[in-house]
Amino acid sequence: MKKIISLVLMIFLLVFFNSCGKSKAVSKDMLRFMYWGDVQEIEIITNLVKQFEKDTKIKVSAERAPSGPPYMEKVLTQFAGGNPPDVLFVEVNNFKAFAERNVLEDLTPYLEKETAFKKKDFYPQIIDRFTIGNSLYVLPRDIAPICVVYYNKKLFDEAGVKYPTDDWTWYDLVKKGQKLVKKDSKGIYTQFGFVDDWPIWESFVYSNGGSLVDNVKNPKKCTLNKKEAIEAIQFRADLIHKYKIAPSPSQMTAMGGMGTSDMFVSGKVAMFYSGIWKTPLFRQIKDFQWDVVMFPKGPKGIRAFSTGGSGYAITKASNKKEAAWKLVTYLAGKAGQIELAKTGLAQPAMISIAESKYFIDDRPPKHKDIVLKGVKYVVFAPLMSEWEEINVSAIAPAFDKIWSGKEKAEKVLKEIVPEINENFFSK
Amino acid sequence: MEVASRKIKKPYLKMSTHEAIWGYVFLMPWILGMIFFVGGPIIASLVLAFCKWDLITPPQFVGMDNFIKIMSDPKFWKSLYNTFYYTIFAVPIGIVGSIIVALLMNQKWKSVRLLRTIYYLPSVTAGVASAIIWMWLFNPDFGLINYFLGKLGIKGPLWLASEEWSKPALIIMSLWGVGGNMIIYLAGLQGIPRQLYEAAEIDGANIFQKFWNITLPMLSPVIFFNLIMSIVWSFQIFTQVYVMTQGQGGPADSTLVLVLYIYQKAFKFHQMGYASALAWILFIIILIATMLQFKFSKWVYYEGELKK
Repeated sequence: MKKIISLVLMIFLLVFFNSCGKSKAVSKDMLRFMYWGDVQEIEIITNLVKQFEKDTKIKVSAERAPSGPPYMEKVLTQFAGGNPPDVLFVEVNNFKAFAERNVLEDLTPYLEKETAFKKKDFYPQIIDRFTIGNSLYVLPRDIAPICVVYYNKKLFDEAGVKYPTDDWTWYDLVKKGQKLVKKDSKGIYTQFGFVDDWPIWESFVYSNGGSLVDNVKNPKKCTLNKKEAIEAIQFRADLIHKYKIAPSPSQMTAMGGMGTSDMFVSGKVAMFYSGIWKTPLFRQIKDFQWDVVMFPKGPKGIRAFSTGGSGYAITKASNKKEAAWKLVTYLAGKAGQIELAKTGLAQPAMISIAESKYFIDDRPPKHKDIVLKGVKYVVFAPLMSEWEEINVSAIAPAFDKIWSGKEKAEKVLKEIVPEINENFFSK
Repeated sequence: MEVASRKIKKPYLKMSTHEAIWGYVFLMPWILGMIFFVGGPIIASLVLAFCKWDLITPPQFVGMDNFIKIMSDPKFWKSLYNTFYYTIFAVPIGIVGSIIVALLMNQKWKSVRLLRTIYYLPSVTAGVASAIIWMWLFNPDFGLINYFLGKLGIKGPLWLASEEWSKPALIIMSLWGVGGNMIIYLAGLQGIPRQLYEAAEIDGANIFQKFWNITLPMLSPVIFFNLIMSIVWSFQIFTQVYVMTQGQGGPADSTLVLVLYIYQKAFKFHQMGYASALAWILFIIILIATMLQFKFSKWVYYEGELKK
């Protein structure tokens, strides 16, 4: 009897520990790479990795996780387990979380030795974002100015409204938007003038001459209680409640889980504000023609908007840094950038490729080149790892009250900004 | 001869020991899983509760810092309030609801088996799927709930999009899960000896008297069990809120429940130590709530006690 018990136990433990050990053994001499991305990006990355493996005979274990919190969870768990990847994909906002903990390798010496490309081949804005002091921690892959207002030409034609042009302002947005709204007999809105992909209030603040913090690269206090910021945030709320051209949060709920981009695809909104990454999706639209225009200037003629972007970093803990850099050059190098450009998903960080026919091709939208001009006006989010927390836990819940029309921007901001400054900046 | 020799041969182990050993063998997968996958993390989280840990750099011991900070964290109090609000309404409504359904399902109707299955079905439906269904039901313009309210001449609220109605919406949604408790009550109901009712009928008791004097006392251990479990579960509400509010607990933090806040702190803001401290506070709250219930459990009637 005892024998049976010990046998059962042994088998169980054997299976258990064996399966633990195995995963380690396999990846020991492999280069480990973590990334996120959608189907097309997976294909590009898989192909680049295969090419790299063929050329260098170094095996790569590429792991993917869904973007956003699930990706961070996976990467951080690997760090926590003392087993971080060699190469990882980061973006302009989660970058700080890694950089300030000193876990990323300074890529400057590698880039100086590199012959395939130079630092000046990349947009200086994104290079600057990924640079702290004199060290570049991330080799940029793409930059994503959130400057694109997609518009449905058919709805404009039907309403007899002239298409917007790049020199338009907030005022024109409201004027055009009001003519593009439709209601049914019960007063329920069937068509809206304007919607942003998610509440992109930052762009309104920037183009009104406001700012989120005193210094983006070294934030010491939140400046959302300044007049310019308050006006801008109130203006975004006014689009919903005063001018009634944009859906309110409850009207969005009433869309029954329909995302904002679905609203554009199904012709329920005439103008949709986002980044260039929506192009591949909108290219499948059959029912109407569409084009893009730059996000409107503020009342004082200021042009500025928020931005995204991403790139590849090497961890300090990696014991295969040379191989890791080689892989990064494959991923962020010309071949990778050209493939990425062709999908239309992202604007390559390498200027020559962004401006090439691979990215600015003859497919719609006609005015895709606005994103090239747009890079000049981008403003990055505050470079602090706590900004995500400030945004999610302090700003978003308070702004809910502004978007729902319950409270004025001025009251809310005068209330929360001192709290934010005390809780997050008083150190 | 064979039979006789078998009788004489002493058993290797006592029967009860033998059974106990096999019992543990069968439990082994669970016990090992518990030790490795649950026990370890529980101990780790207790240690981490006194540390500052961002997952990337090694944890730093900070003593009671996390707990002190939590006490003055308005988000913690808000999430605690939301959790209590939900529990205080959802648990009694759920208990009364599931007893009523169980009583109905205990009748000798032809189709009762089918009905029992239908009522139980939501309990085996994936939480995410049912949350999405409920988002549709709560849709202010096209949802079924507001449609019926409209038929009655009532203008339905915005439900999940409104600060005031988002918590009531979650409570209404919790009724969807009565089937799980119903099954347990049903088993309890069927364990009540028939003769008790017969004796009461001879004494001329009506249906309410029978319910009050027989069904309820005989069912009280089951109610007690369900009460404890329901409170434990409702303190840990997460999936529905996470799905229905995209992990935000909105609008304006009106559905930010404690477990969602723990999740945000741990996985969105990467403050594992703080999140662990929050989790232990939740554990202590649940522990106290459960102990209080045992302390005030005089109303529970155990038939077995009389026999002692």
